[in-house]
Amino acid sequence: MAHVGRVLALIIVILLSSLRASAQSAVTVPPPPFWPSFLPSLAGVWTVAIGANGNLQPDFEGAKQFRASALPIPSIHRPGSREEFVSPRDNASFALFDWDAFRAGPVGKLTAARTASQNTALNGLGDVATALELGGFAEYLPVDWLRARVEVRRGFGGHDGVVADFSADVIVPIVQRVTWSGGPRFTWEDTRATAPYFAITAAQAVASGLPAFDAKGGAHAAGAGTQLRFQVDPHWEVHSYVEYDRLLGSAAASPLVTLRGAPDQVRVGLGASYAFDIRVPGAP
Amino acid sequence: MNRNPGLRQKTIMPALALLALLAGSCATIDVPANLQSLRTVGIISAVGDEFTLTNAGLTGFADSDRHFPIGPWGIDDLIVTRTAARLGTHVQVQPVTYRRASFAAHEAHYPIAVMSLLHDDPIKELVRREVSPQGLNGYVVVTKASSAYGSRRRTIAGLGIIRTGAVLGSYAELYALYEIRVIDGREFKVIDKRSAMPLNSGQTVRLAGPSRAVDPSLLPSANEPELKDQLKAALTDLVETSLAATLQEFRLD
Repeated sequence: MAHVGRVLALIIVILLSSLRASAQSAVTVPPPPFWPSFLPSLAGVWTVAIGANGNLQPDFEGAKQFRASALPIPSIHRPGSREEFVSPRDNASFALFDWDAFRAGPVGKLTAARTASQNTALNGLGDVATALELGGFAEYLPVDWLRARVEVRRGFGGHDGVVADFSADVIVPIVQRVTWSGGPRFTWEDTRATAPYFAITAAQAVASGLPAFDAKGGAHAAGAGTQLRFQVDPHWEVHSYVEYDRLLGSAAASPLVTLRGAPDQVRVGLGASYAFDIRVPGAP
Repeated sequence: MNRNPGLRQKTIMPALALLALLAGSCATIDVPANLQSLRTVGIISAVGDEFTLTNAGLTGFADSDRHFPIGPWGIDDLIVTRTAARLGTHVQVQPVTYRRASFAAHEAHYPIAVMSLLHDDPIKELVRREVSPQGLNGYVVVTKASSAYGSRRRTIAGLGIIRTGAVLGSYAELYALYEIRVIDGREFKVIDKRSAMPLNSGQTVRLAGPSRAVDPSLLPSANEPELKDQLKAALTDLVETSLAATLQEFRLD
């Protein structure tokens, strides 16, 4: 829980620092000495956002203990694009194809290694290496207040299976500065993505005291999530979210979960970011 | 479920851009060609033909943009007059003729991001092909610019207003999105190009260009379907204010 204190302290420091920074207007920075002519010009106004996000989440997938973590919120974009809806579940992605209400492109996710030493529930189960998942995403927003998104990723490292995340959100502006969003979630995984985390081999059964278990792929989790964003002023934004998942299939049936963990997985987060403009003069 | 909290979108390319900026701060800056050498200039403006009303936020599935012709408001004439006044006394502004509709069609939106990188600036060819007389030292061309807006990054361009519906009330943002090029009259190269920038960083709604909040009662309604004079006055003021600031960025005088 010491992590929680550190995260809150970081957020408070950022909030206090705004008392000076909020009075500043656009900062002018020099253009680069060279810029390939085939790339869009850097000239103009850019909005830089910095901040931090504090999360409280299960220590590992299926755990009943929580751990706190903090992530920075770095972002540089043209003015106007900050209001784009981003769910806490979205992984890093780039809209290579952008046409009206439909967008698609590559997506990536990094899943931290799970070590047997990080939690007593994992004793005897061995380590699972860090997994890099790469794939594609597609999302559809028929109106401003509704988004459906799917990510399909293939793992490398910790697992080499396929994971598909489905989500839908309604995005409701309550007043100009407050937006609420939320909706259902569903995750499907194949056997190769599920087994490294939930199967228990004979050797692991002997070492851990858990019964051996053969994890299969299929419906992995279903749940819901909600997010609240509050734009305090033109520079500051605070947001919070709650994501709930109920493990399904082999993940829920694994002895790791039934005997030492919990199928109900909750993740909460609180974050703040400060945005300011920089201006890049120069030729095209 | 997620084993790792999600990362923010679209940070890779901007991060590369920031690195380039930081690298650039330590080196010689490539200054654009000196605009003060221009002696004869033609001014083209193709921004003020149309006013767009966009509904955002809580809307119906069938809600679409509404377009109002506003040519008689004289926004383009205003831009030409103000730009000519901003040029130095050493510059001779010559009247030019051109097909406004050709310039008014704002840049195409390509569904695949990299496609926009493969196309040359179409305005240069328009100046070469459609502006008369040719042979002036340069041409100042004012055309529509665009900006992303809202939860689904909708593209808006030119002059217009966004009405955003919320659970508790609605609000409206008037915008004037345009960009200015100075094009060499012999080789038809873009000497300088700048977009009109946001008037200040203290606005709640952020667009890539000038905008300001206005009273939603100024918007057309079922009872009063026409654009109101107050809206024209607010738009004219927004264009004039932002044009002065944008032209100041050029070394035209």
